[in-house]
Amino acid sequence: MACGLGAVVSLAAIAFVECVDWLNHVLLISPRTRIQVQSPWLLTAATILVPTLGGVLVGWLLQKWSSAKRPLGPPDSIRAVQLRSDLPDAKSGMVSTLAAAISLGCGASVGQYGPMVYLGSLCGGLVAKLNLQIPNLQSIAIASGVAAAISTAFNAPIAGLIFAHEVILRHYSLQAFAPTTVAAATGYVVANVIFERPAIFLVQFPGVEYSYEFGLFALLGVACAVLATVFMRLTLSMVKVGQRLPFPPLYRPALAGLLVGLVALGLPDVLGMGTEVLRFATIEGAFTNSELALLVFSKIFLTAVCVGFGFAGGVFSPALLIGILFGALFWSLLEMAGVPNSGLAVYAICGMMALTSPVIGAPLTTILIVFELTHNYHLTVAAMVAVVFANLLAFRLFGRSLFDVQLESKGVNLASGRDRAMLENCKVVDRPIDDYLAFDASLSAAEIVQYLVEKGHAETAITDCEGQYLGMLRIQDAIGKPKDATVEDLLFEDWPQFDESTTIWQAMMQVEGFVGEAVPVVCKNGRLVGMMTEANLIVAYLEIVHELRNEENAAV
Amino acid sequence: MQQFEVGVIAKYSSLLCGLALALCVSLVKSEDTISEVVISTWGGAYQDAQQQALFTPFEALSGIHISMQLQKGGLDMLTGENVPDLVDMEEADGQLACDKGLLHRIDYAEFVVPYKDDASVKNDFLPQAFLPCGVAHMTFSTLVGFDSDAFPDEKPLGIRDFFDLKRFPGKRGLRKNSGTILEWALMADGVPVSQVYDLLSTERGLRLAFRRLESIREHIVWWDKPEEPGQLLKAGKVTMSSGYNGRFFGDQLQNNALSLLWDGQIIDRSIWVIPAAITDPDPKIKRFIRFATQAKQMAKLAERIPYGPTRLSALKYIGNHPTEGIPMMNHLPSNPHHLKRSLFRDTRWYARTNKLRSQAFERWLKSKD
Repeated sequence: MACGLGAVVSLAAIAFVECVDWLNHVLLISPRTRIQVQSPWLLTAATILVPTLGGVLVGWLLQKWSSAKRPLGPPDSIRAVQLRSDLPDAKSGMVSTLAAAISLGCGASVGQYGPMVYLGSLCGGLVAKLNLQIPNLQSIAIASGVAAAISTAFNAPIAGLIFAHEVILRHYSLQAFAPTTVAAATGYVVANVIFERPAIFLVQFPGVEYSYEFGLFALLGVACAVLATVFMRLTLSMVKVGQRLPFPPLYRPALAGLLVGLVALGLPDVLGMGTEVLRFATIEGAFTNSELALLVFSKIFLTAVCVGFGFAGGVFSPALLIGILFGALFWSLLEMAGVPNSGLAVYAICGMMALTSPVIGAPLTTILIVFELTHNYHLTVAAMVAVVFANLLAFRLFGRSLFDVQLESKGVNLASGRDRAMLENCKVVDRPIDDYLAFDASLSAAEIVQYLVEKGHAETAITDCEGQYLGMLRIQDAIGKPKDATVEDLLFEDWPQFDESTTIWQAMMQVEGFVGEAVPVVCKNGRLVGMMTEANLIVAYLEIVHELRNEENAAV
Repeated sequence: MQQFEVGVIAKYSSLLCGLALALCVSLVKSEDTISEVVISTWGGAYQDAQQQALFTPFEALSGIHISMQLQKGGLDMLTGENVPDLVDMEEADGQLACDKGLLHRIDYAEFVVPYKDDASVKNDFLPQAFLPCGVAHMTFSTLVGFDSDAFPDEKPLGIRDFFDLKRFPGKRGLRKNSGTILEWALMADGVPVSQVYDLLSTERGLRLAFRRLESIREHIVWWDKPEEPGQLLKAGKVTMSSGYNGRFFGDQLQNNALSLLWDGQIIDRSIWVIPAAITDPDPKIKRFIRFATQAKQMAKLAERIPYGPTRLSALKYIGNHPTEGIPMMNHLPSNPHHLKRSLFRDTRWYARTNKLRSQAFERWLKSKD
């Protein structure tokens, strides 16, 4: 099954890339076609209009045809797997993928790997819908799809496998490991053997010449972490800026497209994914320092705008590009300062990976991508140092990754582990809460005590005649009180209370130090809908945690 | 119409002689009536080699006479009177003619024979050998020849060395136009073959290429005619020069010190095309192409002139030059050892960027840094 899934995802990913290439070709985005256009007017018109009209189309597709009304990406895959919830519907997924192909095809400053990862999850999600009676099928299928997509995209099966575990699954059970490996290998076979797709990045690097350079790599990593944080913060804030604009969401991508087109008139390097720029950055003297700085700045800004304003696409390839340019700039400054070094290539690659790793929150994957793309051990070791420092600092400054922070803003907090996120995703009201006692406040305290003794309870909820919750009555507060005391006077103060949105995690936090039997669940409108006993709460907690541990340790 | 009548006659005769005999008669008859294929090709040694390796054997096998029409490139032979049945055309011209609708579109599967029954022709031929209007049948390349006596110690191994005046001092011969040299300049910068044209399409790429060219400006000896590189090298006027592999092969016969640097060779191809002016092309044209693109026939041609076959299965049949006795495998652009880092010229890109490249080149020639 993993093999079939891997093949399907791989073919779909190749089709996606081919489609983007074709669009770039037809729409005069790729330099190779741009240079063949004889009329400068046509070129100018295409530069401005193609991203803008592409934006209109993307906005229309997403708003009209997708029920999610936004592009889907790795955060949605992570969420589905971590919380064992459903992916957004398949139609939204298809529309999102199509929108991504158009965004990339029209030269928007976004990346292709995010959509490809989602394409992998989408296929995995469809497989999971088959009723195959396999435990944890959904998370395994999604992870396998993602592994195959990354494996195809980078020609890097090991990185694909690790990415699926590091970013999507976040555990290493053999049950998931085996199928993801098979899927990644299949993706590799399809991409490499059947279609003979060329390796994406080839650089020559004989080795690090001076030992102190490892200190420089670490320094570059630290600088990249800061830049990555700026990039991620800007991307998130552009989402808010977009929401505040006086345009309906339909037209926001078009605005971003127009901006890209205008910048591209002066700086054509910003169009699209910038495969050519990636290569130039490894050639000495291809850019002056000011060009590098200007490109780093514009790419950060335009990517943030494109992603923030709703173009469909990822941040991975732009991060690679920003990183490699920044790495080249770092090297160029070293040269100016007269520091002997091992040449541009290693700094460019270190910068590229050190900037990307904190953005996607996957240090191991990025290190392995370097290894698989360059087949160069020295380069990998150097990149490893830069990546680790970048991740450490960016974690402090920002968070684990852009994906995690995006999820957090939607109420899924993975920072304290999956348990908490999962507990936060389960609600108290979905648990058995029907078995409870409640008495009308019109009854006297003595009558209620009588009932409680008969039923063997020590406390009860009190409601008014319309079922509105008034409070809790403890038996010890009611015994020995004067006969004329009303029930309302005897109610216990500060009794914890849940509502329909209370999650298991919040409930656990609230009942800390609580000594009663059960906590009332009261709707926002004040009606009592049930009581959560402490025992049931603990059962719910244990069930969820056990389920996760079982998945994470499952062998076959 | 003629064919139709022959078919009718054949049908009548089949009543008398039976089906099998009728088939034979109709085949023989149809070939009898149209028994000549006019092929437009290049003159000189190439024409002689084709005559020996392709035309004469085909005539002997099929009884179809081949008459030749000389051409000097371009598209003129495709229009007007006396349009040939088949043209051996340079890829760039072929592509242009195809775009203009001057050629028949062909389905390659009908025009080439697999070398084994179950073999795929696509894997056997070089990448993109099958074009909308033709089949690539032969490769020739532009590459660097060097005087190995000028470098007694280390010999140049990569295209980068062409630009390395420190390790390999001396003048460099180059053709005075923007072709080839820009690609080499980028390849020397470490750009992989697959990205050369993508990068050359940007202003930055052109700038980098000219920067590399600038580094050897004072050492360039320009040449114009294809025979010059060999002469310059022999006379010791340059230590390295660009040139064509066919010419260098001839030069090597007289100059033992002339060695070739296959790394970075830029490959051009020749294709068989059928002019659109030939309405309703006869099956015998197809028959000739099927014959000429067979592995053994390609090998026969490559034994006589150092132009490489476009299919891999042909390589194992290549032996020695019939008169010089030289093993020809070492002299072919499509020898797998020579293909390691070689660039197939993007002829379409070339045609469309010609003006831009020439202007940039002229500007560079005039500029003095």
